[in-house]
Amino acid sequence: MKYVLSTCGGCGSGCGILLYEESGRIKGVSPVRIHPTSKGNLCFKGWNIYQSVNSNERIKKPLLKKNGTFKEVTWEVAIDSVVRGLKKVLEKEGGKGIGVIGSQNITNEENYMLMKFARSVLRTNNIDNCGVFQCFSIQNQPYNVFYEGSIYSSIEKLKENDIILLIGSEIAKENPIIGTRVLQAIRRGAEIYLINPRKVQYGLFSNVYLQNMPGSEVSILNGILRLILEDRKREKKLYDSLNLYNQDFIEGVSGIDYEDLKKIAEGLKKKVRKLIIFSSGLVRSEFLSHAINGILNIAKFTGSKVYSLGGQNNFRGAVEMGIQPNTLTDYRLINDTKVKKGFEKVWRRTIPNRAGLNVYEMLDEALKFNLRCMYVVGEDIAVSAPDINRTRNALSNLDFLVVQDMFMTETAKFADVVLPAASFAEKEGTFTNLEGRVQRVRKIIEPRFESKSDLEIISLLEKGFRKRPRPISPPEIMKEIASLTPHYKGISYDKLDKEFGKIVNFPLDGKISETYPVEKRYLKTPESPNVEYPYYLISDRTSFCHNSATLSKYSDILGRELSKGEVELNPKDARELNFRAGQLAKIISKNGELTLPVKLNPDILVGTVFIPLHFRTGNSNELIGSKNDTKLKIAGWMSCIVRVEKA
Amino acid sequence: MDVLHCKSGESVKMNLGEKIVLRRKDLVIALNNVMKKMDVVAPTQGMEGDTHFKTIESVDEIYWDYTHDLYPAKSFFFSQEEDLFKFNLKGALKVEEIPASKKKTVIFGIRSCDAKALEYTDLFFSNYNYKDDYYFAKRDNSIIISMACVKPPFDSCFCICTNSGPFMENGYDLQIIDLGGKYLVEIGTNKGQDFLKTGKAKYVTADKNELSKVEELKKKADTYFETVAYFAKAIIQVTSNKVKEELWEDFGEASISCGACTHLCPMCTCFDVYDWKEDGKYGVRSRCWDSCHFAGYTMEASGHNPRGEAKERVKRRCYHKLSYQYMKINNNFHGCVGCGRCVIGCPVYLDIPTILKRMRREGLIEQGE
Repeated sequence: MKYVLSTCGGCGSGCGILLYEESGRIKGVSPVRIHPTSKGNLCFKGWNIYQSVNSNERIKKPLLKKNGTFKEVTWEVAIDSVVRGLKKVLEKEGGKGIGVIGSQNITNEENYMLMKFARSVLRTNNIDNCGVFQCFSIQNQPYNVFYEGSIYSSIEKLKENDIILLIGSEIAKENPIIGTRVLQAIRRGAEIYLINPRKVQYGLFSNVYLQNMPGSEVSILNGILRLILEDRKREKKLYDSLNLYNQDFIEGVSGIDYEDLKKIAEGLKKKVRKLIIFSSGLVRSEFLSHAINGILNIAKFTGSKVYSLGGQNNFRGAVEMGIQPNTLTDYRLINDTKVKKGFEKVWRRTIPNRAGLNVYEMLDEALKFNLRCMYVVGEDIAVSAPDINRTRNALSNLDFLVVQDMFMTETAKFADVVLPAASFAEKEGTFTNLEGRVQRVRKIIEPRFESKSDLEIISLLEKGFRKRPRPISPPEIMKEIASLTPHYKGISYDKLDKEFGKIVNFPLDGKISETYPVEKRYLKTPESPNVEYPYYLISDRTSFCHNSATLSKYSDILGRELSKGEVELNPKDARELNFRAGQLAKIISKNGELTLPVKLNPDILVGTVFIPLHFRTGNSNELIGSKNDTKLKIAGWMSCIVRVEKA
Repeated sequence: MDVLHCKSGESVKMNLGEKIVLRRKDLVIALNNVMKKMDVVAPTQGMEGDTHFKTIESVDEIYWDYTHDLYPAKSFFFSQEEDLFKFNLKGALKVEEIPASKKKTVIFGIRSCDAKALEYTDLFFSNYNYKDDYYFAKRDNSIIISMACVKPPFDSCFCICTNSGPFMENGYDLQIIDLGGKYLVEIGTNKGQDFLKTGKAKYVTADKNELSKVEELKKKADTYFETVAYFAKAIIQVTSNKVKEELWEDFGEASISCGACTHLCPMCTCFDVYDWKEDGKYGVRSRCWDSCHFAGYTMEASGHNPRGEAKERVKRRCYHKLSYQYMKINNNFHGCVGCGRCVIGCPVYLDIPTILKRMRREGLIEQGE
């Protein structure tokens, strides 16, 4: 039996994990006792995710679609087919006709090489990741405070906070181990304020629980800010600009008790250690930038730290490696000529000038037949993007779709070529967790069947375009990344081995100095319930898997936990609609419909219905549409309205 | 065999119960000789500095200043993931056993708590007129050499509260005690004798000073323990169903159902069985560690789950491990060997010592309530 020390590929917490091997299969996993953040803990996913790696449902050989069915082919044939397909689109449309989706689950080295391939070889800046569907990833400059100003609390120090405000977050399911640090803070006497339309885990321990109407988060945050600035004479101007958010207004739009809001503001004014945590519940809102402004302002005037949760294991790494249409590594914009020239010098190739399309824009352009081809690595956008039907129509329109993944995902079914990729346990590389901690991922078994690491695949593709690409290994790639990326400067595989788990190149636990613009008008979500669609739909995790549940499905233990799919109704609403528990209900939105059995839950707000994000037979994205946050250009889809009928 | 003729020409008594002494380098020689014929699993040092047991290729891999492995020793015989048998997918059903390795394995250096737990798992896997062949195929071919704890290796150790350490009275093939510079070996069984015979190193019968050093170490070891767990009151409370419901609600709200407690516990043995396709011709039936803390553990085919809420599952685990019924069925074993792994592995303070303390202090339903 062998073992290797690695980093868990389950979520953005980046817990240490030990993988055991016997006879070419992973035989077990162990937590790592002296890991600086996980300290001997592993969550449900960490303990069981190895089963997906072992699964025989993995794609075994490259697949080529002929006459509507997939045929197994050799790597030579597959790579040749992809290269020819890409070259064909390049000739006709140029780089702008190609879109690349990078993965939140592959290593930093792989994302960097993918980004390099896309920009310098495929001549496209249309590259993005799917982190925008769930967690706050930075696209625009105003939020550099998240990575430069260091307002993140470290996971280690999280339990030392005395007051924690949780807004829009089912933390115990999204990043379970980080959720337990909140529990540890509670056991030390911390006060918890929870703002969520549905009562989530740790709500029982909350000192103040605001069960707000979906879409009212911005108003509530600005209301809290106003209360905090009440006594501060120097901030009178800012205070006056928040005039809209008084008691009547807030109670009207959100349905909460203003006295409770006062309690929260009082708590946040105390001179103790404070933390604000927000995640997908807030991110999936069309007013995300306004909500973030609200949070950052509160943080500034109260000295709080802020935490933005991250579902996937390397979503932060993906963004930092430049898997965004407008940035190179380290969040630096493409139109920063000095930065761009620095990359071009090392790559010895030019980078197209203008920023490219983000993932929503790519799908939009595919629908209009402007984007002809996509290369999707390690993401199941046909499931995780909002408005499933629209996404699938977009994919069907493409001339050429290449999908690189471990399993036959819904997206892969649309592909012309499918390339089998290796898992985190079958390669060397690094992941960056949501704190910015760079950690090693180590190989315990060879890539199973004929799969290859994403790095190898990208190299093979590159060989189809360049006569003599330099051979590259993960340590060498990290060296190149380190030379071009200020926050990765000095990182080498030697250093990563020696300073096990301790490398965080971004400062943590710092302060905010900037004030963010406040929205003076009421941001009324256009999607308020009406006669035709009288209920708000809320969707969030109920099981421990991510949006598309790709890995969880194929693990015996994880797959067992996938909920069978139910729609939760408040008993009062159920009575009005004449539903009993277990009866089938049809949930209809503007974008689609789902039929699910009813479950009664008194902990959700009257006037809202709840469907888990993912369940065995489907995903709530079939109902949810998308509307872009104008500033951040990421879609808002929290407030979706529906009606409920007998099936 | 009760006498071994050593290199030095002395004859050393090797009866069961005898105590012999050897220096570190002689122990190394013994292990080297044994490795020519058997596999040896020993503590090694991971790159982060902690202790991890694995099959060693050379004696140089042994981490002599080791503490304890967070991963439990039950994994040597009851693997987290294990293939049981193959079956053909087409035609008349034929089951093909996956042949177990017949090679003898020496498990060197596990701690008393793990060795004690093996006594329990031996009982569990052969109880109720059903003998688990997979477990015993490995167990019967293994030699257990446990290393007594002169000092508790983890801050969270509490084996003195469960009568499972730090020194064992029986239940080992060999028990080794580090006297500082040399090791005292207590011979427990024939298997232990086999090891020494194959080891062919220089053994000496323990003298009076060495024996009294052992007694001194035993007394001193008890004084180092930092964690305590008072079982008696909790067992009474659970057995008579006198625990406040609010306590379970509090525990249930905290738990993230990660299953770390059950996976890391040397006394936990639940597993799930599942089938998968190896290729077009064969299917395989495998088993993997399961946990009563997982929501799907009691999920029924209809989708109904009698323990759908975390609080029901935490309650169930406590009722299982801390009841008198458990002790009656299991030869007076507690549901716990005090290894302290749940204290480390649980991120929300639902480890056995904390649960016992809170049950006693907050959860007791008084007479007449």
